[in-house]
Amino acid sequence: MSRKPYRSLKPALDPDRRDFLKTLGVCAAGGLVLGVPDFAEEKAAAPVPSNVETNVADFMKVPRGKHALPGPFPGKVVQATDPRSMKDRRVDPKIVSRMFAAGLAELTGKSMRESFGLFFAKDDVVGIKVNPVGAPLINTTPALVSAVVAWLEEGGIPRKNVVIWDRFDDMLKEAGFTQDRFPGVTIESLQTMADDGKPWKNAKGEHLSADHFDQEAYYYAKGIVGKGVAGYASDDAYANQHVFTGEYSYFGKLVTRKLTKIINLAAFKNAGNGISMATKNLGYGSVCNTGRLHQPLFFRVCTEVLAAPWVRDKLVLNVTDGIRGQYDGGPMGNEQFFFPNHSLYFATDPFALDRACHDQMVAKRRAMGVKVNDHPRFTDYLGYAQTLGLGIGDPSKITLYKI
Amino acid sequence: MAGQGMQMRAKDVAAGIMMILAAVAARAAGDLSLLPAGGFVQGWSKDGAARVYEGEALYDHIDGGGEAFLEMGFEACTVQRYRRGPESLTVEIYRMADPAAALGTYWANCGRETPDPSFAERHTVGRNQILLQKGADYVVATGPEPAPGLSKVLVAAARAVADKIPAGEPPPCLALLPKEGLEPGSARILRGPIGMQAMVTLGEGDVLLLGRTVTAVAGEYKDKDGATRTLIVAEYPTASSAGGALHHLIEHLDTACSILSAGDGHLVFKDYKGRFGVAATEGRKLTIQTGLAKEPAP
Repeated sequence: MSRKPYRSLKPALDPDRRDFLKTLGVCAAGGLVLGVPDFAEEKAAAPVPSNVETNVADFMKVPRGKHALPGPFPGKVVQATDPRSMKDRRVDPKIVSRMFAAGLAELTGKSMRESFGLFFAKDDVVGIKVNPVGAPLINTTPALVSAVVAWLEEGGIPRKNVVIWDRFDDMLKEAGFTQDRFPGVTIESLQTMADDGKPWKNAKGEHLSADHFDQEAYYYAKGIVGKGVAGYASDDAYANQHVFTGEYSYFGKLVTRKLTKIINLAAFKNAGNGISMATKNLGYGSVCNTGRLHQPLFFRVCTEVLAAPWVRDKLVLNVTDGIRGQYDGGPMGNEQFFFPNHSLYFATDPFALDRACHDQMVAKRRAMGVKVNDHPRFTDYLGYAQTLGLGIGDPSKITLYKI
Repeated sequence: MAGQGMQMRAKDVAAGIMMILAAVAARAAGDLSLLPAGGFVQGWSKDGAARVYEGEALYDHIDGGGEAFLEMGFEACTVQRYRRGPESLTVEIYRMADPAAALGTYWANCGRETPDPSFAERHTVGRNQILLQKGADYVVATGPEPAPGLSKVLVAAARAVADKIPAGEPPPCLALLPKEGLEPGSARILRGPIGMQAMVTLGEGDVLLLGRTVTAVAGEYKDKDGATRTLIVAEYPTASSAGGALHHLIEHLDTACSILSAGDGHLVFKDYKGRFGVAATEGRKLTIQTGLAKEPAP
């Protein structure tokens, strides 16, 4: 598998720069605030949801790559619907494959082959980020992944250079992303999490997956650490699940060094009053040490991790798998709130995609009599992404095409 | 005949006491004895050993959803897998801190209830999952995917658990919520910010200082003009702590809200949608209404 150096990331991979960033973090208390980049006026228009200091400004200083977000179709979302896509909870792979082709063509205005050329070269190593959480009820369906793999293969990418990816190895397996199901395709997790008291540290006392993460590439959130996060039996339990525990959430080496393009296949589900779809799937699926971020920075992470060049410049296509939907009780699967939605949603702009799906989710929740708290805090991150130039969050500037 | 009847009643009482004692003993052992026995439906047997997750170890069992249980008041979760040939199902028994915690968790997860008419306990059953609340227990039985006849097996599993749980009184906090005008299915029990988030945003974090121990109830009410308002009533240990909570709310009210008036024992505010809210203390109670169309008098 080829490893292509990633041009726009070189500054961040320089150890001196890393030291510089950490120094900046230390200096911040003296008035230098990393989390407030030079778009302060725009920030006023769409406030950052929290005043925690992060390194998003450094992400934004890295020149944008050719394929940087929001891609060639900012604000454009396509919903492909076919009621035959699922019957008795069983997804029909042939129908899903047709929906994928139709939705992609509507998004790009091109054929499948031409669409491939819009996003990929034959020597790309393409990561397909799936969401296995909530399997078998509300995860990314293997049928959709099969359709995407077939498209990439037809375009000339060898199967071994297609990587089905998530953070956790056991979740991938439980959701059906196995070598048996996808022969020849690379299936790779960022980490393992030991269960039942099995060892998870090496002789040096490091997490077995520590080397899977790139300590030169990180999302920094000052003062937000994994120690004592509620919900964990101990700090060791946290470390087992999150590999590292400090103020740095390191990106997986898979993301920073191996993949040259990313396709994001989210599931159509809620997380409380918000959604857990396209931006959450990558925001929390690309880095470690995320447990610390949920409570204080939940949605902000969905924007800022996607601002990192390793994601921003590689993420070329987002498809939210809404063949099955869940309008409450998420992000875990909850049968009480499952519904057949029969739709796939396409966009190069993950923020416009999230906005369109959020609005449909809210409508569904209302229709089902679920209390909707429509406080702006649940969508502020989309406006914030717009100020960063990562996508469109303003509903009046988003067009949803239904086919 | 009368003597025989008395003898029967005495036997019933003794049997009842034995059942309660047995149930108490079972709970001390981690709820393992509440699990359905192998063969609860012909052909279904236990698959492996049960697992017990106590306190914050719950997070080892449910990734991403544990906080809501812990906030509500959680003690232990007992998990057992069952199998019949290629079919499988999992029973989870969540022992909560009290019946209010169990009911609050059930309400937060049940959606529109679709009960099986043959099963009297509070539950809802779908095609591959059943949720049940009885006493301080919240029980979930789940099959991996819908299958013919699975619902009946799930009901049988839930019934097997419910039969071993002593019946209890409804949580007293329910009396705080007026029944008249309450929208069906809208009632909730709250003990912290996670529960609050589902109803209304009044500020960051635990803005009502519920602290996982103070119980609040909330519900939606439709007025005569069709407008919907949200009512939250929290009962604190003392009048002083209720007043402290109101003061904290005034100090930390959501930045998208503007305070119209605040004083001794009351708060009136306008929210991000231009609707009005009011909070007031009365003894140990703090009552909050949001989504009001007209500005209330202070």
